[in-house]
Amino acid sequence: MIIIKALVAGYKNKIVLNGIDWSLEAGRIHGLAGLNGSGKTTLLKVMFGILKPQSGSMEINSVKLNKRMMSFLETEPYFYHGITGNEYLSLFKREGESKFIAEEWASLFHLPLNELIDNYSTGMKKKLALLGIIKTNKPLLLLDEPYNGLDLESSRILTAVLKRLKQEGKTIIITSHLLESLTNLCDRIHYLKNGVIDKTYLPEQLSVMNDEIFRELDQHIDNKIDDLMNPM
Amino acid sequence: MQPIDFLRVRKSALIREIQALGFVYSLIVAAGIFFGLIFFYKLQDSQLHSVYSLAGVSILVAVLHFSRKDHQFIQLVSPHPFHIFFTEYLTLVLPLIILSVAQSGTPIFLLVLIPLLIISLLPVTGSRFIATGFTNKLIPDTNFEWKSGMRKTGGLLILLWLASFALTPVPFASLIALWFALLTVSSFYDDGEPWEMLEAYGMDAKQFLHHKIKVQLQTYLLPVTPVLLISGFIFPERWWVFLLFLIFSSINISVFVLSKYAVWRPAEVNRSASIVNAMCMIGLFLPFLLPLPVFVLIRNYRKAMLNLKPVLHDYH
Repeated sequence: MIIIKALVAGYKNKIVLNGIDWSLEAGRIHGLAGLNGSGKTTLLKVMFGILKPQSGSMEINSVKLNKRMMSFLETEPYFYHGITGNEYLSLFKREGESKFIAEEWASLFHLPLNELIDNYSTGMKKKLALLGIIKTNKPLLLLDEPYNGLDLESSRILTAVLKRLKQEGKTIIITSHLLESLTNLCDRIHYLKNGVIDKTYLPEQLSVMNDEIFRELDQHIDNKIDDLMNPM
Repeated sequence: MQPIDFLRVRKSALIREIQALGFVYSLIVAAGIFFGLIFFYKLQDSQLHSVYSLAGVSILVAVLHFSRKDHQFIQLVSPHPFHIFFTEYLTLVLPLIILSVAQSGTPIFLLVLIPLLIISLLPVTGSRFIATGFTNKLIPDTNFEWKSGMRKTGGLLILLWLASFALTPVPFASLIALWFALLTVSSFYDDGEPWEMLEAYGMDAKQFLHHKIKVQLQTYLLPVTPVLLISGFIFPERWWVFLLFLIFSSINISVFVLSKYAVWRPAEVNRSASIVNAMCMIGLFLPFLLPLPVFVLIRNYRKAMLNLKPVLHDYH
């Protein structure tokens, strides 16, 4: 069980996470949804320890969260210039007994590991970062917008891989601003609003989610467009 | 943009770098430049020495030309990149031309303009990462700085290394070639890796820095030691000079590593340490600057530990 209590965090004078209390079952895929700027990335950064919280606690199975037990995929991963995909992956150590055969994983994702990363497209870079995370084999994966930049086939492969990782007992937290991409994959979808976890849904509650989350927003957007289309 | 605009930009950047260095370091740098210029002035006592220094300065400018990272930018903003390169190199070398002519009384050092012209005309294409398959197999997987660096300036480094071998019969000439190679290597440490790569080792700050220095030294010593051994064999009465070079160049490699991590920020290019690194390297030839690398080593070890501890604290 991952338990986050009274988590407050932000940047300089701006509080983004406003006292989050959040309990997550381990061994599941958890979706984290929210509008742009709602704090999804901030929450993952705080969990991973890149950003220091102002207060609050984070534990997994009664042990304080630490980097040794998790991997984090950034929205736009950055890579060192002038090295190949193979050289990048060779830096990561694998935890546990099982083997990671880079060439086979790369062929699944159609990734040319012997080419320089500088020549990769955005999607290929994202896939390489994902392989790095898969290789490290840590129990908790924090994935920030992993589907961004992936083509249709790679998105389906990623969904299948994440489901398999869940079967192996990994806990996965995945963010997206597209609810549909989460409902296909997640066991729970948590909606972040005003710096707190506002609601938690089951994936089959997509229509309820859409209704609750977007009714007010859609109304606001409609009114705004009306004003623009029919100026006084 | 005109060449004069570029010189203005360079001037502002230099002022910023000096301000970032602080008073003590600025003083050391100024003293280093001053004594370096005096050393150069004294060296111009014969035509032969002027020719040697001409060759040295030309190689130095070539190293600078091939390792600079703004080729694409200059090609974008100027229709004649050659003008910009040549103006910059000329500005850099002008004080040396004046000193040489003043001391030697002959305009022989003016011939440096020819290599400057040629170097400025040499294109460095957008695809700077040339595959260097064989050499990169000799570099350990964890030494991504060298793998990447060899792809950028591997041709020049191999040339300098071969020159150092070829020059072993000439007293100390191989050391000069190795020094230029070391200067090229110093640019390998400008780019900060993303934190994923930093954390991939699963080590705390102290273990990480020790491991990093060990790997870099292993890679450096592999090609350099044979050259110094042969030099020592040819000039056995001067074995201690080659040993000193080995020790102090190794300290310099450690300084490069520690300077990088003293200011490391994920995925950022940082050249603020480059002046101090350059001073440490000049120390290899100016005895009064020899203690500087040791001082910087200790200082930057502390700074690197402080900088990395918050990132790697979970791995203790």
